[in-house]
Amino acid sequence: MKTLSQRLSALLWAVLLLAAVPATGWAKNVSTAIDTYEPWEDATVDVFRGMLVQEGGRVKPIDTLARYKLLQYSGLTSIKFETAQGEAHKLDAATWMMDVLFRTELAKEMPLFIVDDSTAVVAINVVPKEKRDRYSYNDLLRGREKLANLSAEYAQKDAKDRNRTEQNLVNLGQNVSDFEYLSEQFSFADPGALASNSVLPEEMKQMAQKFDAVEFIDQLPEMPFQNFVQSMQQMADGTPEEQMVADGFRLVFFYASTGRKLNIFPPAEEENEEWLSVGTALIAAIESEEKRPWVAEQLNGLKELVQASNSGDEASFLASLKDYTGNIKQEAKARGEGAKAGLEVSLYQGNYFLNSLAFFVVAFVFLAVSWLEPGGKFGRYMTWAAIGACAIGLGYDVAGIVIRCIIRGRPPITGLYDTIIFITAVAVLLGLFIEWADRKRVGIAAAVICGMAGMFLSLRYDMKEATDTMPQLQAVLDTNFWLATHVTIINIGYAAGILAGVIAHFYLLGRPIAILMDRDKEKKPREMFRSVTRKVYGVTCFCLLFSLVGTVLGGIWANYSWGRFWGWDPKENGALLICLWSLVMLHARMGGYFREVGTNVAAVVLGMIVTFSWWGVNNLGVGLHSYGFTEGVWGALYTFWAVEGIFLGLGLFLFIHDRMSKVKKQGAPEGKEMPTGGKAEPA
Amino acid sequence: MNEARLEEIEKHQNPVRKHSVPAMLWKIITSYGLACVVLFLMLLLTLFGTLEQVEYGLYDTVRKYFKSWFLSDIFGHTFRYRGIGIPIPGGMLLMTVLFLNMFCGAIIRARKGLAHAGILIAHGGMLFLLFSGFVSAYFSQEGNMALYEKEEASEFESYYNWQIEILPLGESDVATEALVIPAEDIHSLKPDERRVFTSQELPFDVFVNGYYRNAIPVPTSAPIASSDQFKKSPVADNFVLLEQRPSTDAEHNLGGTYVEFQAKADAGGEGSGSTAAILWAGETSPFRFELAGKEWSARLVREKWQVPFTIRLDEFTMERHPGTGIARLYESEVTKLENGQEESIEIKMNEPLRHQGYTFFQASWGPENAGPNDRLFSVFAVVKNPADHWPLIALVIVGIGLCVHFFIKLMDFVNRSQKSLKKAAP
Repeated sequence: MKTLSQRLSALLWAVLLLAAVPATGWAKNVSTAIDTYEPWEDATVDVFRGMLVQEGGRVKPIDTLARYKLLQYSGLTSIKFETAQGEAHKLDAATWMMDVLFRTELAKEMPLFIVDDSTAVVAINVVPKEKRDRYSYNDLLRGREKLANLSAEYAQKDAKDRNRTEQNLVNLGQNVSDFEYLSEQFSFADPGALASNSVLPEEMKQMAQKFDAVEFIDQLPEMPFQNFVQSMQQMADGTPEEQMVADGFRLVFFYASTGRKLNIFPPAEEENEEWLSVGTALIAAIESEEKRPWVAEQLNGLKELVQASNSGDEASFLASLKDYTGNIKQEAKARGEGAKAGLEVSLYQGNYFLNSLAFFVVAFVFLAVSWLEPGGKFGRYMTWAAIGACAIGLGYDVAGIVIRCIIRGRPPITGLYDTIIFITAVAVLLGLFIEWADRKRVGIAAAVICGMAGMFLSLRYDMKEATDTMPQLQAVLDTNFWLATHVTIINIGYAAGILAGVIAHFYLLGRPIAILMDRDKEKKPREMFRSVTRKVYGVTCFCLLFSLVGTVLGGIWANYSWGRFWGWDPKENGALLICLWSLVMLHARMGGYFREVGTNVAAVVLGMIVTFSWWGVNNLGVGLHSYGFTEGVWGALYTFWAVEGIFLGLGLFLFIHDRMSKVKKQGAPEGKEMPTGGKAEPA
Repeated sequence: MNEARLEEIEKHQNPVRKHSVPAMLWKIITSYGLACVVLFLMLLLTLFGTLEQVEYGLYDTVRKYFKSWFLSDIFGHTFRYRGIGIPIPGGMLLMTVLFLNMFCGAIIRARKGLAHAGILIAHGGMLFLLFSGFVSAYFSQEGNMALYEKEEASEFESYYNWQIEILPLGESDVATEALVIPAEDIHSLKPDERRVFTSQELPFDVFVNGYYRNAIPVPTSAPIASSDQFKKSPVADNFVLLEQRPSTDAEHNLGGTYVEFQAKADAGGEGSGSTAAILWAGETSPFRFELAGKEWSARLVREKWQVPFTIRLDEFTMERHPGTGIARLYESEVTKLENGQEESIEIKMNEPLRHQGYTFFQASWGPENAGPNDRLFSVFAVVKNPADHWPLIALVIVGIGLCVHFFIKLMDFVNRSQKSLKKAAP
């Protein structure tokens, strides 16, 4: 006869297999019209990665920008394709960005844009591909005009009123347009690349071959950019000579208005904080004669770099790139900026959170194997292996968090993404602590489940949001003291609430199985379930302590920031719900109303409340804590709550079962069995 | 020992009989059961009071759920038993019961002694926290002061409450002193209710006919004004008030009321008689009228409170993170003028000015689309709250209590472990 542990092990394996199914739907190679693809040397890409840009108010490596652009367009952090000759290539984000900037023609053929709904593609007269296949820019080119029109039309609608196709078209339109701009960043220095630009008329493309924007501007008197545009419009209707000059104006206007996606020039003035792009540098040159030599220097430097990339000699390009990025780094350093860019590159290259997930999955496998022989030597070794893998997973997570703290010079949590990786780390740590304290394999199981779920969520969130997870902070959040105290403490409370909920599942799942196997009344399972309940109770106490202190600290911060301790704001209420429910649990247990089943059911409810407070209230669309409004959260939350509803149902079954057993026992002449729901001692 | 003797001992030990009504009440008030029920109801109230904010906004929902003793509905659903509406306990009631339950159960009835000292202290801290909440709810004043650069003020105004201000206009056409009908007397008026206000300093009585929290005046010639709802409405200057649904941002509500100024019988002057008007919060200029031989003006203005010093805004700075719309810093350089002395102070996010029980917080700024050379204004949230720092004190008490409790538990655990180790030793 199989043991209880073996049965649970089989169940775990089934879950593991089910979880593996979606992973098989990974993006596959797509055949492209690219004839041959010459990969960049690793050394070149590594230098490029560290190139500094200013985006979202901070100076960062272009690697980060490339990563989030690629995620935004394709939903992935790398791009896979096959050349016409069948050669498979996989590019990471920085390599892809190099192609976008220096080999635009190739980048336009790469499968880049994801469209969830093929109806959207059909609507713009493009032949649909398979569901997860990406479309290249050139694939979409024939529907470009229609896409622009439809996207603009649907963008007028309120986001809530758009259907799926409309939303897809809005997203696709914005992404394609964004990509077009991105691909034009260095086009002033590479007129050949303009050849494929569908917007420019032929005569301007030809003019561009011999045109030097900086020299052209140098011949003009300084003027506000507005006047420059007006002159351009006036001359367009003038004599043929004037029209020729107007073409020069139009070309400069084109470079100035399209080249604003990459802010790569640190400003010459120390007091100026805004870095310049090709576009803004050209405007600065138009508006101020004084700035023209500086602008010429910047643009010519970039021009040399682009020309070196076109030379076909990668060694000389690498040397130019090193020089170019090195100079910018030095200028940035003198301004006190970009010092942590190298660390940021290593954060993303190190894949800390993906590795963390991988180790948690490995730990899960070890754990599942260990349940095949729970009491034996093999089982014990496997448990130790699981603990080791789990600790490494935790180590990766913590290392990632620490690096993020160093990069920003901030406490661990400043945004929603931070909460995921932090809460996961705390829950895993608590689980491991429980395991260390009692070695009953409940702590490690809970830790591994929390680790896997948390890291999976963090990756999903990163992919779905596709925006820099280290943004600059709003003025009100600019206080390391309160971020370190209130925010950190309350999130420790969240972690404990979730852990209590997870541990309670072992009871609610395990006891019905024990009952079905008629082993519920045996001493060993009874002790195990009682010990699970004690852990749930203990972790709930921990949750209450941190939630309560964190919530009150939040009130004190609010009182110091905008003059009221408590405003019944949704996020405050979310935290209060956790405190109140923990208090109900505690007092109900002290009063004897909640025993084993009650405590575990209540802990599952606690987990549900924590998820509401953590994710739900942000998405109500009201309140002061308006960070992280995330699409699709309600669907995920409803699913989660529905699944938890099943466990609550199991709790109801156990409650009825225990009641009936009690009635039976009272009816029996001699009842020597232990009551099933005896008043448990506090942990 | 017989039964009679037993009863006597019980009586001696507990002066209140076990099954007497006071004893039962005491048992209920101090019970864990009541604590659970109240906390659970509070949880439900918090949940619904959060969800309803989406539809009705923060201000109205908080008043309905948390600043009330009872509420009649949840999401518009009433609860009835045989046709009689069941009142749902509001936040004030629940928190009062919780306070009583905690005080009686966790302080008076609770077991005393060193082992329970931590829990006692922690509950004491929570009681103090609830108490500070009550004090804040009833005794704090909250409003704002908006100042353009180089402007000064020594009063702040309410976000939500409007009062009627009547000014006699002097010969210089400038108001000398104002008479005020307080906000609480106007806001409590239902649309079809009428109240009369009189003052010895006024030669007329003021009849206030109804108050609308959010309204807009429309001309009687407008098609909507001919609908049934306006049949009984007073008309002033060919305008009627069209009631609007209160805004989810309560500070955006523009109240309105019909007023009638009727000269007192003994008032002399040529202009005696009466005049009617609509006073509307959105009006840019006051209503002017002549009565009892004098000129007057009346208007609906936000409720105001004086502060015992003056604040001048010298300069307002707003910085954004480079190349973004994300605000990095709001900062107001102000001068505090008091008793002929001046003091320069900086007020910024998380760094308010606290003085004489008043606290000035950097709240917002404007105009929204200001250019680089435009004159800016800064808005300060002004709060007077006697319980300002009490939550911090409460937290410290709770913290100490919990630390004491954990320390005692830890010592207990160590002692037990040592005992069991000794027992296990041969």
